[in-house]
Amino acid sequence: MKTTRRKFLQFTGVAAGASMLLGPKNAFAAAVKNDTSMQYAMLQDTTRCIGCQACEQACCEKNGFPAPETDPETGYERKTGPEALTVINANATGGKSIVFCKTQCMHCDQPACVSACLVNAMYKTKEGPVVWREDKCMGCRYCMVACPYDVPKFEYGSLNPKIRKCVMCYDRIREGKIPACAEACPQEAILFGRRGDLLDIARKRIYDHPSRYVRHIYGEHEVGGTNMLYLAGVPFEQLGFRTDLGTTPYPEYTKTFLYSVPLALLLAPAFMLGVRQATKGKNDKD
Amino acid sequence: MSRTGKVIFTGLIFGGLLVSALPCLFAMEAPEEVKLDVLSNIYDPVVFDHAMHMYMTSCAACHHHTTGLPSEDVKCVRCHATNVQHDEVACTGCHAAGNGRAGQLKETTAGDLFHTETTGLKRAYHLQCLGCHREMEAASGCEDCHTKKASSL
Repeated sequence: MKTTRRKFLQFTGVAAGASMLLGPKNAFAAAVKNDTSMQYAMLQDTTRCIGCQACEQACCEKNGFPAPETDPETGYERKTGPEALTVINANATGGKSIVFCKTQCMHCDQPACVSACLVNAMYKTKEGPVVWREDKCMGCRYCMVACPYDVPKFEYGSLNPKIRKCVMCYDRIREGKIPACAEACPQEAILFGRRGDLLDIARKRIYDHPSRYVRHIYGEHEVGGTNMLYLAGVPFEQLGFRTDLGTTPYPEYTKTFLYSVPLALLLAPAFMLGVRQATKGKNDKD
Repeated sequence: MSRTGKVIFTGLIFGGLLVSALPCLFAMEAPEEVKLDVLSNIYDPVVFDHAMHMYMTSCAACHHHTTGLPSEDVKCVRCHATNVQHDEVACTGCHAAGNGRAGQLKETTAGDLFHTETTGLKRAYHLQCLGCHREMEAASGCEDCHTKKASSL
C-alpha cells in the first residue's frame, strides 16, 4: 500500500486525537473521586497528648521490639526507625507550654511509596492502611526515597532485611481490635475509626472549642488526603509538620509522564515510518 | 441506777450508734478502695483509696450529679437540679472502658445535645484525678500512681 501525505496526516491526526481522549488526565480523574469516608483512619489530638509514651510502649510490645529508651525532649527530634515505628516528640511552641506530637506512617490515600514500588510490595489496602508485603519486596528501597514523610525504614543491620513502617496494626484491625497505640493511650488523644466519623468528630471539636484549636485538620487534604488526621492548638509548622507538601497526591506528579511513555513508544515509530514513506522517491529501495 | 436512768442511758447509746452509722448508711455501697489493674503487666495496680477521698471531699466533686447530692458543676445543675441518686454511680456507668473507637464515641453520644464526646474511662480517671491533684499540689507524676513492677523491664 502506498502511503500518501494525506493518509499519513490522517493517521497521525487520529492517533493524536485518541491519545488526547484516552490520555492520562482522564484516566486519573476517575481515581481522584475515591470515597475514603468508610476507610479506617486515626485522629490524633495533639492538645490531649501528655507524652507518656504508652503508645510507643504498646507498639513495641505488639511488634516484638525492645522498649523505647529515650524520652521526648524539646530541641531534639526523635525519628522513627526499624525498631520504633512510632515516636513522640516534644515541641517548644512560642510562649505556650510543650506540645507533644506522635509520628508514624500517615497512610496516604494515594501513597507515593505504593506508586514508587516496582513489585507491589507496598500496598494500599481497601480498608485504608498502607501495608508492606514481605513476599513481594525485592529490597530496592524506592519507597524510602518516595515518601514525603520519610517513613519507611530499612533494617540495615539485618542479614535478611525488611522494610519497617507502621501498618496501622492491620492484623489487629482484621481481628476486630483497634491499633495497639490507640488502645493504650490514656488520654484518648488517639482515636481509631472510620475516616468520615473522625472528620466529623474533629470538625465538631474545632466548632465546640474554637479557642483551643487552630482551624485546620492536618491530613484532610495534605498530599491528597491521609488516613492519619491531626488536630492542634498551635500552627502545624510549629509541631514539626511539613506544611509545604501541597494537596496534590504524589503519584499525580509522575503519572502523566509514566502514561506518556508507552504512547510515545507507539507513536514515534509510526511517525518516523510515515515520514519515510511520504518522502520516499520512486526509485528508492526499502 | 434508776429505771429512768437506764432508759436514758440505753437511748443515748443507741442514738449515738445511729448517728455514727448514718454516713455509712448513705455510703453503704461505696467501695473502700478501687483497684485499677489494667496495666498490671508493666505496673503495680493503682489502689484508689475511695474511703479516704470520701472523707476529704463531697461525693459530687467527682461523681458529677449521680449520687443525689447537689452537683458542683454549674453545667450539670441546669438539667440535673432534682438530685436523685442514679442507678449507676460508678464511673463505668457513663465512661466506657474500651476507649479509642470513634464509632463507639459517636454512637453513645448520638442524639444527645449535652453529653457530647463523653470521654472513655481511662481519660476520665486521669482528668478527674490529675485535675484535683494538680490543684491541691498533691502527687501528680506518672510514677506516683503507676509504680513500676520490680520484675518488669
